[in-house]
Amino acid sequence: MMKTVGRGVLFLLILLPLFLAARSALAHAGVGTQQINNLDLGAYRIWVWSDPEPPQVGIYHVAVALTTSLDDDPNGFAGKPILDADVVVEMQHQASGLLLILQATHADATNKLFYEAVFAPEQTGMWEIRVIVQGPDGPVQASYTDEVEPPAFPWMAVGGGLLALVLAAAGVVLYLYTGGKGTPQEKRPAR
Amino acid sequence: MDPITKALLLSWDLRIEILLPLTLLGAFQFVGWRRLRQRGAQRFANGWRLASYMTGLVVLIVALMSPIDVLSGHLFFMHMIQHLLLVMVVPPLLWLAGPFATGLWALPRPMRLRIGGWFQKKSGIGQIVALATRPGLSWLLYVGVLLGWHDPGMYSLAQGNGWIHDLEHISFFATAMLFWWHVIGAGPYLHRRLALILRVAFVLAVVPPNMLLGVTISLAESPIYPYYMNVPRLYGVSVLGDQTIAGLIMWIPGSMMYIATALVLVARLFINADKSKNASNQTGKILARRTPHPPRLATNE
Repeated sequence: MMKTVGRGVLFLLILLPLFLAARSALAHAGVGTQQINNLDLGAYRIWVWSDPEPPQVGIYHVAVALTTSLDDDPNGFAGKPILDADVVVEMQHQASGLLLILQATHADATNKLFYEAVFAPEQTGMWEIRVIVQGPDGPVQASYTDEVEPPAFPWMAVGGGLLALVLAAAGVVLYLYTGGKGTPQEKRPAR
Repeated sequence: MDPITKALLLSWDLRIEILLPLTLLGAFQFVGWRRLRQRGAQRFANGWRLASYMTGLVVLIVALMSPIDVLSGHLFFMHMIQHLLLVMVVPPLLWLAGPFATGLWALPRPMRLRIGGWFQKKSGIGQIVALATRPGLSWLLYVGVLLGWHDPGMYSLAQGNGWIHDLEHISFFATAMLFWWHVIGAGPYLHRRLALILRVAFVLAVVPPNMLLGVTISLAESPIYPYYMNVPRLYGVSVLGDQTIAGLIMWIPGSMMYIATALVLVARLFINADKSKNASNQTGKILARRTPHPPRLATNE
């Protein structure tokens, strides 16, 4: 009996990484919501995304892409990425006036062509997000507003975790159930 | 080095939920491979099989976490390259290694026998899996998923949500694994193995839908996927130019992969025919040598 329980535990241990993986996948979900699309700021064009969607208390990513703005390119599709700009992101709570300021960096961004700032807003409600780019022609800025919601119950994480556990339990049950019928004789390596 | 290229090369999206299972699978395969070799099965557990499996895992990591993945959010043709790696390169590399048998040998003996027993033709699980993965159904799923995700609505849905995007990649990879299972003819042998000539037809039948999709994308006169109109363009590639390149990649190298596989299968067909002809000639000669002369009738000379 102890041996059987031991095997069951071993099987669960094998499946544990899948459970952890599911949790990790949940933390990663979301490619970002586009907030500003191809806005002409004189010398630059700017794109801004935020993540997660919907925004929740505790975590708010702002990703910024900057390209050169060319006179002969009205669509803004020909500019090259700008990597050496000074990009600051301000996040201001509209009701209380609380101001959070962060430097957006390539180090915080997955795509190193982008700049990213990672905030941890504690207040729910409307926030104004300003992206300020310091350039040779003086600072330029773009802004948008977003509503930060209270932290939601992590249904997806719990559901994913439960599903992983159910699968693990089903594997153990199947393993134990099929054990009583005798195992085939092993004569040579399986092909 | 150009700073933009340098920034791109540094753009890796290291995801633990991908790295961890792939590392475990690689370790499992290695342990099984080593055990098989220790038991004298060097012919099956040879270096090529291990290299094929590990290369498959590395290509999978490159497709899902390298700058190819990061860039695929901005350039359609990079997304197409990523999909080709997922459906045309990784699955055959993994199957060529005979991963099922090797992986089983990484398990302790009782567990190996029991789990191996699940995938016997006569077992309940084996029968269910065999029914759900019949060659015709696998082909339909593969082509259906390929065409379905390239619908503009579905594509936009996937690009706008990380979960759906992951689901897209999982469905591409899973159906490709099913498809290539039948093409390579690897274990577990739950189905009657397709004859080589049928495998040639099985692979070549994918060329028309694949080519049709590639031609449609590359010759379109306006952007099919609006997502790419809302992202910064890199290296000055226009939305339409990017789309044309993506379509051409699917059309030409994509179709070539299937045709090349069919040619390899045809070559094997000829080699097998040659071998069996030689074998029957040899058998004929041996029989001729061994057959005693007809006994002479005794005469009273």
